[in-house]
Amino acid sequence: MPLVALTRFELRTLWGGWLVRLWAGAAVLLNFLTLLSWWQVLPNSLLVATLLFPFLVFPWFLVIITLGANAVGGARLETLADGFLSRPITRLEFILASWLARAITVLAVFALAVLPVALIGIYADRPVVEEQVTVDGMIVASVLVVIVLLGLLSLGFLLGILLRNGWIALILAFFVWYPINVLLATFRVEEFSPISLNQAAPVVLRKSWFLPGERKEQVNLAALQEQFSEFMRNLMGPPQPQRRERGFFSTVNQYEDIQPARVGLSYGLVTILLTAGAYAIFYWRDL
Amino acid sequence: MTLATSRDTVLEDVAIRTVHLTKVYGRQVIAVNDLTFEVPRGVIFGFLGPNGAGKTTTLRLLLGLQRPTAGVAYVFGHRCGPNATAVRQRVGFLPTHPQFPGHLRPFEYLDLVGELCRIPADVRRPRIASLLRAVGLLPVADRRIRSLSTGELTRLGIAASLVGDPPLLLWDEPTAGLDPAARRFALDLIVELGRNRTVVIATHILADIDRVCNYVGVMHEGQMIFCGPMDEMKRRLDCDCFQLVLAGADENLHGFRRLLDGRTDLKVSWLADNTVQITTAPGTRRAQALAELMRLVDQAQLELSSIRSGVGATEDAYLQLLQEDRAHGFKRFQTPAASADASSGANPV
Repeated sequence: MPLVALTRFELRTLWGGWLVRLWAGAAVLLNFLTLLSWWQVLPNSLLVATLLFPFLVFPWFLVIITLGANAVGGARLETLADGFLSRPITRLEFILASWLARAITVLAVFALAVLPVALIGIYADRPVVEEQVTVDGMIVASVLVVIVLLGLLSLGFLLGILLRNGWIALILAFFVWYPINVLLATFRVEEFSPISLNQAAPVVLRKSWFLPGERKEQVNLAALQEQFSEFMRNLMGPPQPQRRERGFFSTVNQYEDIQPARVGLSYGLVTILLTAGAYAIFYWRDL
Repeated sequence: MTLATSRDTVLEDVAIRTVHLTKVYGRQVIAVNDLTFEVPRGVIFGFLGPNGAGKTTTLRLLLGLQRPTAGVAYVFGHRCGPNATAVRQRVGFLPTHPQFPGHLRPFEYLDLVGELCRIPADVRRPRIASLLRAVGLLPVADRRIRSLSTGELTRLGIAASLVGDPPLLLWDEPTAGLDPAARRFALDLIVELGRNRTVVIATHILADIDRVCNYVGVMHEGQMIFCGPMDEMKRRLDCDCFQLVLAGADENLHGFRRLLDGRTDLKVSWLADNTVQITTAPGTRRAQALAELMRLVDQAQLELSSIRSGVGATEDAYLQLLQEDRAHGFKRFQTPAASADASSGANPV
């Protein structure tokens, strides 16, 4: 009961504040303007990828980090400590409720801003190149983006609790997150970078991920490709490492090899670790 | 009598028990210094001490909001800590200047607190309605908390501490910032609640302690320098005193001054032209000293406007305790053996 009560209270506090209301309004407005701007230009998959851009790349990551960073800190912590943590609840319940409310808020704003606009864009009769966006693709792309956003939220959450000051946490998170694309590219795990994910979105949207026939075909193709590569290696020696081109929306085919499960699990693990870290810090903290 | 049942749980007939409780902030500031004391069940315990003595820190340690650097604390036999919900289930806490979510209304806030206390809705809601009426917040029940006055906020804090119907109340300076009417309300409530609960009032306002408490603990520099019944603290005074307010002509007052000047067994200090404080020598019977004073007043042909016995007894006893503590110097250092003796006694000092 305390977990539900606290989550409800946090949700009410969040949605009663100007930040979330303003963000939700701006996100919906921006996506509608995007839809109208590209109505006659972009095919379905590229249009949806464009709608995801503000969430994955810029500017909404700032809002999401702010939401996380301001959860438990400053004067708010005093209110929470006196009012709630002196009651019979555990710190785990408190942290979970605080995180859960923010996660629900992020999901709600994402759903509000992206889904209706995306559905209009996909199902409306638009004068653009005919292109198939699968339901599987929509689900997989949405889940991927949501997991990334929760990871981002958890980063802000951890830094907010660690530094006790929301603004300092926001600045630090900005400097951690903003160069993340360069950092991931350096370690050759560019597929995890938000920009790459955004660019890979059209591929994800076009594919049918859950149909067994197509999956099987993909596996066979992969096996054939592996056999061919092995043959070439034996024939010509090991290949030189190739520098991966940074793709843009016009070259999205380069992201055919994206593995949503790998990306999703990785970001999921990071989210769990960040949230667990936040709890560990909060548990040992004096209030 | 104490029965140890497990490592963390001790069944006791005391409400609060601390053993060598110590809190050091950042290895620099010693807020609570090897604190060992007990609060019996059913008393109104005045937690006295100057600012910075460690009262609030002790309360926060009991609630598990802070972790002790060393030592342990028990509330009704349950060990205190960050996840000690069993402790907080039994405690109603009122902080010094309670902070509330301003966008809620009083009923909504109390309902939330009730939910956190795991009270079912059918019990919680009638209780909250009754509490709002009892603390006089019904007229403002429809207003947002941010628009309430300081007194109303304190009343709301009081109501919040009572939602769970806890057997122990920890109130940190409940009369701070209140106007006289609100202060009287709070003190009367403490007396009322103290009939069937253990109430701990942390304050440095001696008049409040004097009025409502029957048990007292005095903290100084993080240590408990006295813990025991209120009467015992007052008895620690070296002397008794009377304060007389007199009425009469100036020449009669001068005559009375001359009569007193001749007495070597009385210590006289004039607080105003017509107000005198007379302290009797140790060993003098109070009744005998008072009779003698009345005879002198009559002899000087003065009228007695008022007489107060034991004026400032609590204040004097308190100041005397602080002074004694400072005078003890290095003797205040307790060896482990002495410390163990103190913790086993009724009044560790």
